[in-house]
Amino acid sequence: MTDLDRVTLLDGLLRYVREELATGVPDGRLTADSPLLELGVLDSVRTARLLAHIRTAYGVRVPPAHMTGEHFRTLETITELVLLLRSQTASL
Amino acid sequence: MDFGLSAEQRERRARTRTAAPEISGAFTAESGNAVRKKLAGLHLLGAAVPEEYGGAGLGALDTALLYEAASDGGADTGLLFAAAAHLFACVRPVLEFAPPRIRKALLPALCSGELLAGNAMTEPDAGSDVSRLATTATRVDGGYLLDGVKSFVSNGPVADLYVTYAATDPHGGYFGATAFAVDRDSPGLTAGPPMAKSALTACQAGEVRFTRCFVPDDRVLGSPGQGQLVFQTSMRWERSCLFAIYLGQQERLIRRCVRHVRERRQFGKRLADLQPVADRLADMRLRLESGRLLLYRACAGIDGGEDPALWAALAKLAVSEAAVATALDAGRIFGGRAVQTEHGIEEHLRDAVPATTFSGTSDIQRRLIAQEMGL
Repeated sequence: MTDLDRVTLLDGLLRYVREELATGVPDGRLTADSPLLELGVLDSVRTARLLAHIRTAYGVRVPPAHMTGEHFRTLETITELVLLLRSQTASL
Repeated sequence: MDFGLSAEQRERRARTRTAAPEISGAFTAESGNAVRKKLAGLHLLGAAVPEEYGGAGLGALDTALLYEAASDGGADTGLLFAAAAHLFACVRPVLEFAPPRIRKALLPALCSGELLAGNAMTEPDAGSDVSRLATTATRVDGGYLLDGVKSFVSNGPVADLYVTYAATDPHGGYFGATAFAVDRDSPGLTAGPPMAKSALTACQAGEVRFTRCFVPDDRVLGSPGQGQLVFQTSMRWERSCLFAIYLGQQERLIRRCVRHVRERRQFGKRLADLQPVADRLADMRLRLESGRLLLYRACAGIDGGEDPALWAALAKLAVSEAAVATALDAGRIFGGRAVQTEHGIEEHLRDAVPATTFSGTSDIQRRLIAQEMGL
């Protein structure tokens, strides 16, 4: 995959969470900096689906060491994580 | 794609099958140590642990083959289940998630049977759902205080170490629970007596209660908040390797049924010559071999570093449902003898039934499969 800029990635993730995850949170309240864990957006089922989406759509597998609340706090932190992991894979 | 076993695998299988009948008895005060030694002697307690930590250094597929051979050779199903619960739900999480110093301190003893472990997850109100734990872990200086009750802990009454899960952040969603490895003699930990149960009876199970039980920071598995990740990782091993026990059990049952239908005569014919009986045996074989291929595939996924979630769910579902169906079919073939304790068919059925419940029910496996399909 070629360069993926931050804005495109964040938009893509936001759209996926709003349209595909059936979070029960109104779209207007679900933004880039919404606290996903506190809102109950990322429970076990939806986290698994999001991870599968990140894997298939962006070719990024999140290793266990990066599976922490810090990285999954908001869509912004998830975006940072995907970019970080992609840059690590690319440098291999 | 190679469906054959290597010379080494065949040799290990033969050796394990020959020794398997020794795997009997119970974890009582008198015979518990001898049972642990027998299990460790066949490498069942530390199969999937690197040799540097005292294990046999086997991968998932070879570990599954080991359990299958032990079960096929006649080892007690309940004892194999006890060993598997120890290895897959406790030892593997310690190996994969404990800090290096704790790994070095615990793993050799866990592999030798000096320490036996129990998985303390299930609560009265949280079976399959690790995100709804009522047990809490409160941060204190140097560690955590655990409070709560775990209601169905396999090996609970006899374990020396528990792998347990507690809520650390009520607003943490997927990252709200943390995994711990807790010593039995920790102040504030009480292990209850064995519960009366009708299946896998050699594996004692009971309650474990935590009351302001202090667990130091170095006994956190993974990092705080990674409880679900630790649990899922252990379940992938369990759903793949543990169910090899039920491949061996089906192999034994089918072998007995084949012998029986070739010997017993009704209506002037061998049972084997009655088409409905032969059809039933063909279906038993089909279920066994389908489940076996899926289970080996899941193990190959683990060994190959793939995400084995889909294969593990498919294998668990297929093998557990096959075990129940095949034990029931064996019951039909053996007729009245199926309910006579001395023939052992009813014991196989009792041991098969919970396989569709533990490690995630069949309904949960279907949900995981659907999830992996992007539904």
